[in-house]
Amino acid sequence: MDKPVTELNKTASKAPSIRKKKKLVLVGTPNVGKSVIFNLLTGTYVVVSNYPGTTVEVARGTGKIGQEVYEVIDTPGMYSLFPITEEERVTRTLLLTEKPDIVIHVVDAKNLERMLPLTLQLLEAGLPVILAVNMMDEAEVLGRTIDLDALAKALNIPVVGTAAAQNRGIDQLKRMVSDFVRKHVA
Amino acid sequence: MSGSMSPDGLIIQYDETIEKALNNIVKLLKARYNFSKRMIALLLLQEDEEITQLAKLREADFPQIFSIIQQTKSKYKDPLRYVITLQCRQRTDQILSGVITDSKKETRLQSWLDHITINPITGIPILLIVLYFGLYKFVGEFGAGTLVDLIEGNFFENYINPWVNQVTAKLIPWHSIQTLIAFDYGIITLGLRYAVAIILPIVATFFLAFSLLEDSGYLPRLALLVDRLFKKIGLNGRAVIPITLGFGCDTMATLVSRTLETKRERVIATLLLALAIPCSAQLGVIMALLSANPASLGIWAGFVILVFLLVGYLAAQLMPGEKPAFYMELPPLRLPKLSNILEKTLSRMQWYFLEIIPFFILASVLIWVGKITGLFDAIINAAAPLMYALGLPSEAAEIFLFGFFRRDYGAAGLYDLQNSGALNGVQLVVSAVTLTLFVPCIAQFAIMIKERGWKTGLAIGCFVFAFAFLCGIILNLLLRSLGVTL
Amino acid sequence: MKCSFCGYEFNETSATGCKSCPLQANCGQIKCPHCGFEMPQENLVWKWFRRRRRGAGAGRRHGQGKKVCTEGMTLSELEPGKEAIVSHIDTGNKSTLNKIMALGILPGVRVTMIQKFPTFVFQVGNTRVTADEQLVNTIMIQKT
Repeated sequence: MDKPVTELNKTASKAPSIRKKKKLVLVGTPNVGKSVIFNLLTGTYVVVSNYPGTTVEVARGTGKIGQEVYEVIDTPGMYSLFPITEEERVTRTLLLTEKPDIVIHVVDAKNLERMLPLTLQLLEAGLPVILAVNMMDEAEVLGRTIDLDALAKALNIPVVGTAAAQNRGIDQLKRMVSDFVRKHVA
Repeated sequence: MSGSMSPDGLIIQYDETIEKALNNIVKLLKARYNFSKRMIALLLLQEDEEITQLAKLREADFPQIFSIIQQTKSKYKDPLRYVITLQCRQRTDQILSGVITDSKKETRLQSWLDHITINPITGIPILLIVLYFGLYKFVGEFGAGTLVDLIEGNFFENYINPWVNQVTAKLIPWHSIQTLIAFDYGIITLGLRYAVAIILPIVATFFLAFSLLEDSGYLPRLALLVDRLFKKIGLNGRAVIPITLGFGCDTMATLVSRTLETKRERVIATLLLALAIPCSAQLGVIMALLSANPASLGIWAGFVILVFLLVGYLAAQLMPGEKPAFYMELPPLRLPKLSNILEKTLSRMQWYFLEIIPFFILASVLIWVGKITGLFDAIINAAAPLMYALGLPSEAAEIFLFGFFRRDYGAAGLYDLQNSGALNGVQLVVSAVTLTLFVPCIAQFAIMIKERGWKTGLAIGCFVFAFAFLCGIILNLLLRSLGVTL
Repeated sequence: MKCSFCGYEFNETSATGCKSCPLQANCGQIKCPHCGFEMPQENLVWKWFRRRRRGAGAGRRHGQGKKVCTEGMTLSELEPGKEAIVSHIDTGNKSTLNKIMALGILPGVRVTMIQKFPTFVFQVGNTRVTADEQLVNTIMIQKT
């Protein structure tokens, strides 16, 4: 992980304006696919599984989204901003101390009603949130349709539907991240 | 900081009383936080310990804030945490009422599979089948049997070792350096051979089987099936991940035991992992050794399971602390994706080998030093009475010494010793049991100390060391007095 | 279960062991919270048998116009396959409350019991949750 940083510093010093690497944090309930998205964004591998709570440690990687290089941070799952377990505390402390430039809240489409309260909490905390509604394919199988545009309008934040395990929606997610960051820097 | 953040996302409104309290607290907050002041106020209202501590330190007006919280609390009969969550959930449902449309669809096969894996009547036989094919057939017979024979018996014994021995003997004139690299205890002929020929196939097959179970979503079902049993040994169903992972690598499992909720559970899990859960390499070698005689395998398994339950039960009785409730989401059963399984197996193996190879080489070097200086023989001699109490030949001390460097290293030593025909049936079982229970390997010991603190780590290490030999002695006496011949 | 001495009906799990007893709840005896009479815990076979019978008998009782108490039921009393609405979460333990709420179990939410042994499995929305008696007993429900 050290190498990309030094490489980035080199290019940064060459560039006319010195750009700091932007921080992108993935948060969400256990077992919603944060680690899959992390792998897709960074190209590095962290262990992914169908068992809640397998990400024990914070994983950090770098990934290029649009023209920008990001530090991507994968966090242990959390249910709410009120931590129950040690791992959840880790995630909240990270959010409290790291000043992320963008927070992607990954939720399970099948259980949107249960997970959206965390989105609302993140917004209340004043964090820059994008909502990634993951596992759209499984929700479809269950007979659920979600009007993502209406949801984006209601929450007034970017919302994207993904099926990360099938690599669906990831390009759109990346585009949204770029747009979001551009808007907020300007 | 909070001022510069995007205020554009939806901010939900709570009822009047809470909004008033929030506004009053926000006005009193003077320090800077990375979260918005509204969120800090919300967390304070819900009596979040960490934030309350923080505010106590930073806010001059904390007493006033505290009295607002108390006043607001007194207006509700339920905890504020509950009231606020409920209101938040109601807002969520309002938002989603126009967003989600559900139509009932039932997938038959999946719900049927779901059903039979959680029902104890069908679930337990399924569990046994999974264990039999996954662990015994695939890891034990295929990994530790077929693959090890192929790589170790054929490849190393016939090609690599003779060649390395020859080359070293030719190139290096000094005998002591020769033995560092080749012959009985050399880095290549012993260290690398164990790592590549015996451990690699076993660990690879185990991690493959484990990844498959993990991705299919079977493990939480296993957790609910064993919850009752695990409660008896001071854990709960949640501990199924560290414990099953322990059958792969106890070091990794000890690391993962931090997902357990209370310190009490973490300590008990660490203890049981150190004592009674053999890692895959050890398990594979032991199974391969004992499977020739089902009775030996039965005694070994029965005795180790007994120790596991007994020590767990006693630890649960003796250790103070709360017993957390078991709860878990059941993810749907999914057809695992081959690419993910392979990738995961590879990444776990990579982790394992980065951790293991240095220890193997180090162990080879230390053994070499021990041999050269005579220290090794002195320890083996000193351990002779202990071996005698176990009813074992004095050479067996060597495998316990190896076992300290790595559990699997010791088991692999047992494999060599057995091949030379130095042990009879009873001795084999006794040494297998003692070695299974015996101290964690250096790496696991290091993680134990890192994760649980040196006091607990050391205490567990000493207990396990003494208890393993005690169990071995008892088993030996028992088998002999019963006149068992295996 | 029903106390064989005074006939008081109570929830077995609410009457676990005497606190100071070293055997805790594992003595095989159960004490009626009403009269204090101690009786042996029901064995599984009998429990199963009785549950079957009660299942058959409940309809009749209802038919006779006897009032069946639906309020103040805990989720642990919900029969497999039946649906109910969560009315309240009854716990003084903060961490238990947090856990239950994290799983999306809140008043007004529909729950369906799937299985009760060896561990409770129930459905909340599209989530399946497994939990032990300790947790399930704090969830109060109302039958629909």
